[in-house]
Amino acid sequence: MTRLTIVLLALHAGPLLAQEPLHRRIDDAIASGFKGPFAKDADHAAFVRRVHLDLAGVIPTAAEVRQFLNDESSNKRAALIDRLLAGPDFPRRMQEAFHVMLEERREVKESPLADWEDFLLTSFASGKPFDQLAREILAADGKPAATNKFYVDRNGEPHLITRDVARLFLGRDVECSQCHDHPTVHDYKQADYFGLYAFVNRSFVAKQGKVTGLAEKVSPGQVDFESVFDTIKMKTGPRLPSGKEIVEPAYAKGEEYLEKPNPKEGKPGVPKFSSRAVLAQQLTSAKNSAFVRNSANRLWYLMMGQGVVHPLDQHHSDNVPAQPKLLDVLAEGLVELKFDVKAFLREIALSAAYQRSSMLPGKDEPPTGTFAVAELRPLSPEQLLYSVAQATGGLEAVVRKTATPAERAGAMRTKFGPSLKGFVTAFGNRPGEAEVAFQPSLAGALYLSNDRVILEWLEPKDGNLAARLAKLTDDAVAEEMYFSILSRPATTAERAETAAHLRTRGEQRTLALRELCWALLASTEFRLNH
Amino acid sequence: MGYECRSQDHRLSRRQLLGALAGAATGSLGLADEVRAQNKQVLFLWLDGGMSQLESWDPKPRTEFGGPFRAIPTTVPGIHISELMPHTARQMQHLAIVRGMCTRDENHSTGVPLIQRGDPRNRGVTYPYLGAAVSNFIAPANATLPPYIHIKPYGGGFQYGDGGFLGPRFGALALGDGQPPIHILRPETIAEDSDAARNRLRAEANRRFVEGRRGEEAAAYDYSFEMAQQLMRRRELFDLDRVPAAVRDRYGRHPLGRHLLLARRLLEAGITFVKVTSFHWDTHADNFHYHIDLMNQFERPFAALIQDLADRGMLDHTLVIAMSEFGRTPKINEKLGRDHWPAAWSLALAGCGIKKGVVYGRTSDKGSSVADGQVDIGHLFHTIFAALGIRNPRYRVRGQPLPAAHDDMAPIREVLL
Repeated sequence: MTRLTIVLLALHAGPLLAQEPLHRRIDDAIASGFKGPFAKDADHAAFVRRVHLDLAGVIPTAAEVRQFLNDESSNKRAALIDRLLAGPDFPRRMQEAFHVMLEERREVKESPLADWEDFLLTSFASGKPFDQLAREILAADGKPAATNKFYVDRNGEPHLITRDVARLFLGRDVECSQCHDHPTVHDYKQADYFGLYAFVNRSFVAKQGKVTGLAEKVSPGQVDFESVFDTIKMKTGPRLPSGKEIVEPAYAKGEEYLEKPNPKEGKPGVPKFSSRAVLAQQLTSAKNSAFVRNSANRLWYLMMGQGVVHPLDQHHSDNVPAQPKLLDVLAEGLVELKFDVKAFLREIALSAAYQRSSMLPGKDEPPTGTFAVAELRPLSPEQLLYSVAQATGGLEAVVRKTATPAERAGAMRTKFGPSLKGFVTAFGNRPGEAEVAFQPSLAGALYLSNDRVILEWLEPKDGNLAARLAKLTDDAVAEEMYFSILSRPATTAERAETAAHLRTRGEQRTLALRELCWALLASTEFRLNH
Repeated sequence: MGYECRSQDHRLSRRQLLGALAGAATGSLGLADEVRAQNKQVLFLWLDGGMSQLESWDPKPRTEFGGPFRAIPTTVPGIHISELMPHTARQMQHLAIVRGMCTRDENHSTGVPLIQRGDPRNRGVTYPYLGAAVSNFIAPANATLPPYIHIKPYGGGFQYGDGGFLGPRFGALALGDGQPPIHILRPETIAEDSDAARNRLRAEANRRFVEGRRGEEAAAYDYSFEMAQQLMRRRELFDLDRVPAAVRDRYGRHPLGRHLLLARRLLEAGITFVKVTSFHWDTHADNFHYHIDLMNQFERPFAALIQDLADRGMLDHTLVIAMSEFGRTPKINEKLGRDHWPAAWSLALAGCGIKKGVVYGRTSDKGSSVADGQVDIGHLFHTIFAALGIRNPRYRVRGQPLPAAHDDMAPIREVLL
């Protein structure tokens, strides 16, 4: 009886479900995997801050918060999401996020960071689908030169590239299977590792005239490997995990090159057959479910602070997600939307899951990965810097006259570049390391406490926050301060505390205001996207 | 802290997050709170590049490869060390020398991490460095200063990689040339009472924020500020100008002398694990002249430190380890240098849990192999854990229990109290 019902329901529901918008399917999948309790909907103030951080990379201004709270239209959340996605900050926010996601803040002088940032910014500003972006990064045809960055940052080292292609584009940390089948993860095979390796082992970093680029040798034939546990010799040509080994075209000796190497002129040559180009095509296909699922999971993580599969590079059958259906739905949706990042993030932002509160629904915390309560996730160093600048009133003047994403990103880079270095050092991970979990550090605390630039921003100047607050009565200070820094109204207790502190300091009003503002900037509430 | 620890069944508890920040209390199984309460400490002196055992702990005068230096008697009858260590010879009653080290790796690049991670059986995970491992097991949960500090020449910063699978938080706070972290100085525009006031307001804001939410993040973030405050309050620790000139002279004004003096001050301040690195021990050429110079820089402050720790009653709870990634070849090469030699080398231990005035292990007459009492780095790690009173040291990683030192090895009982 039960089985029959399910079959009937499935028959009936199938075509209807396909028409449901993705955000509904997301919420249905979550509801089918966890029975609750779920946290309440986040209040409007929490939502406006969260969505600004996620889609614009910075907290809203006090005026933007007030305007949103006063807006009485019923679809104001969806309207705000659309406005931010169309706004000039979105491409920069994506540029920052994808630099961290795909390059993990790697930087070498042979591949300038500014070029790569421009490439990412332009890609997102033009609405380039993610599969195409991934294809360009993996094919690395040097047009523009920044497409070479993935390989050049890793100095063309084929084992490192194999590992990172698998980790970042396929969601599999296959490092262990370089020497043998993975001891605990049964899905990760040594043959898969070397199949991937065979795609990239002929690429190398070469100086071509003045620029450092990426070159490729002609096919060295199959790769030999053997496990450290036995001595059975094996071979493989280029092959995606779970894919077919590709048959490489055979060329007569001397006929392998499109352009022959000429060391005298500094030309490394161009082979007729590029395994890198094949890798880029095959790996990023919508039929490659590992790529689709990894992409969907990483984009979900970007908005939610927790992957459906987590850690993000542990997609395998022994790491069962708490919400098994959710990733299917997301992967399907990403393909339906043709890898359109903006459209996909829009659907996530519209979901009830995204809009939930971070206040626990009861005494017990819902299990991780059920998405029953909003994660508390750290602001990235970029989000933190721009938010401190926004809160203290120094950002608006910088971006006021910028209209395009490139102008805005350029103005922010010029003004805040040196500070950003300090923030990344104090709050980011070192290059080559995933920036995933919240890791408060001594360096970060010392930086916020004693850095002169931060402290200078708290001094009254040109209508900034400190100057505005200085003109207000004791009772009005809290309201403006909380809207500006924490993006919400102050509670009664907070108004009282603020007024009391101002009274205690008496004549030393500037000092009191500096202390009050700093305390909120250094608070956990400010440090987290909640 | 752990990427891997955020899995479904292993969400961080508040205690763990706090502990992780302090470099304490997480990832270990069966941790004994009484060990933490005893405030045991470690000084780890790392002589990078490979100190020659023949010019230090295991001299072979008048032999084919013995080199030009004599052996001198020490305060312990029957034990002789190189004449390049006259000050250390007067502290021998505190020391235990291990002369039978036999390890596997003769390369610096792989050997240094291999040795400092204890070369456990390969399980496809990255083990923590000794400093991270020890502070994980014994740093007091309520420590207010960073548990693992690394004093080294050149640059400083935070050395995340030392944490291995325990997570980046277990890394070392590195003080480049002994200088404190940048931003430790409060700008003169902020008075102490103002700093206290703003931090009180910050703590109040945090208290309100956690009501009804997961508290771990806030607690860990709070704690990072507390630690910053503590360190700012103790910044005089880094100011060696406050130390009497005679004391500074006794340690030597050169980098290693200053760094060992700073190490003593950090130990006095309660830091759990202080690592001091000295470079340039890789004497492939002109080994003997270099060792005259290097040994002088090492052994004078080393002896001063041992004596100071003993005089202050600190040696009973402070374990001192002085070692390299390997020793040097008995055979003298054509440039009058000695090359890398992991097959037979020496190190010294002193203090907490260690027998006083003993030698364990013996090398062959020419010093090329271990004749008796051969031990590997895994034995040493077991010995260190045992000396510190850590029984059955294990970690739990991705749900799997892992031994903290090589499964097939055991403590060197002969050097343990």
